[in-house]
Amino acid sequence: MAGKFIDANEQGFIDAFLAKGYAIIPLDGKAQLDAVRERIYALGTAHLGLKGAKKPSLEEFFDNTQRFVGVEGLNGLRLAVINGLNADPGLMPGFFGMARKFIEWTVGNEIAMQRGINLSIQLPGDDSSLLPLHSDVWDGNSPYEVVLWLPLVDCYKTKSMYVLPRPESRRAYGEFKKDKSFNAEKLFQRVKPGLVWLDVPYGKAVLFSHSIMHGNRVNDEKTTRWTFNIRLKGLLTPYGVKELGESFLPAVVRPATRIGFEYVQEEKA
Amino acid sequence: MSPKKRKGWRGYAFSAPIGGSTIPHRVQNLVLRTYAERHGLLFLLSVFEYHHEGSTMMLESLYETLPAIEGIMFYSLNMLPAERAVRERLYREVLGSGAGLRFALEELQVLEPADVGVIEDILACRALSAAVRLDALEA
Ligand SMILES: [Fe+2]
Repeated sequence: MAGKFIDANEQGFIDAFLAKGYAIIPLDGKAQLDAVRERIYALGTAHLGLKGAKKPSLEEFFDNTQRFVGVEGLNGLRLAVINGLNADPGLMPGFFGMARKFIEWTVGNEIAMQRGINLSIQLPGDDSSLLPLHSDVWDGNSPYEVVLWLPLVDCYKTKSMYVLPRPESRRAYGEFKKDKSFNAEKLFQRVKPGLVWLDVPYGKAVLFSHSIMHGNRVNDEKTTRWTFNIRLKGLLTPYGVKELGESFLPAVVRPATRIGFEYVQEEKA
Repeated sequence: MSPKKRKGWRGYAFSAPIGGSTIPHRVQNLVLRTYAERHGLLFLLSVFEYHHEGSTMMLESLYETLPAIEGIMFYSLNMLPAERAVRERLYREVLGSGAGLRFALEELQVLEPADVGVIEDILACRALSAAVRLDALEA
């Protein structure tokens, strides 16, 4: 029956997302994404005091970040960039706009969005910012949430993230729950054959249900990884440890919903 | 009264449970103080609302002090009066006297009329989404 309400293109996306728990999507508004990258380049080089002859090209700065900052300076750089970016009220709406169609196809068209941006920078060979195999739901996040994982550089192999597609994820979780001797490494070895390393060039992004298992390993490629992640969910679906008003803000509220809750409140008064 | 003569943000904390749990005064004050420091605001000693459920007596007693302060700093959004009409009076009193509201835990604020919509949307959507429990389908 659903097929009659939704066109074949959208239905194809929905079926694939349900089957795998993730999708690699093209982003709209390349110029806007380029502008974000320019802004990060400006904020990052300023923070690191790279000016004049010492100032690298944009390409050089993103690919070879390891030449300009060590692991000890990474968090300072990250925070300087995040604080600079978050000062722009157009930032989150901009990201939303880049992926809007696919976000709506995935979570619906009344939407809550994470308030601030998360940025992760992973230098080649750096083992200090690893994300072991996990599902965000395990530490209390709502299973109704999805993550938009958006790279600022081409991500492939170990420079990217991996996911365990939904069927394997559900099966492994079932076993993991039963066997108390499982630890992160043992679980990783168990599911390793099924992991998919996502090939995500600049200009694309991953939309995934953070209920499926995912993570990253040491970046064994020669260049640095720069990625954003942003959480989104249906506005009126249940919240977990990240609450509306605290971690999330309403992004899109439709008028019928607003009329509905105003009507109910007036009725009660 | 000119904004220059206004001084500080009055802390507003609860003895009654907030969003279902009792938060020690010390914790509420700590959150308020940290928020004020981070935003460069002068924190005026907290007023504690009366313990009985739904009381807004202390809050309403602050209205006459509004012209002298920059505004009221709530520990949390969850302490806003449950009744919409009472909240509307709060917004009117505060904004009408040129003051503001801040919510430390959520880092949100009402400094102008346009900010009210966001707060009201959050409250309504919280109530609606909470009506479906996260574990509603758990076996
Ligand atoms: Fe995660």
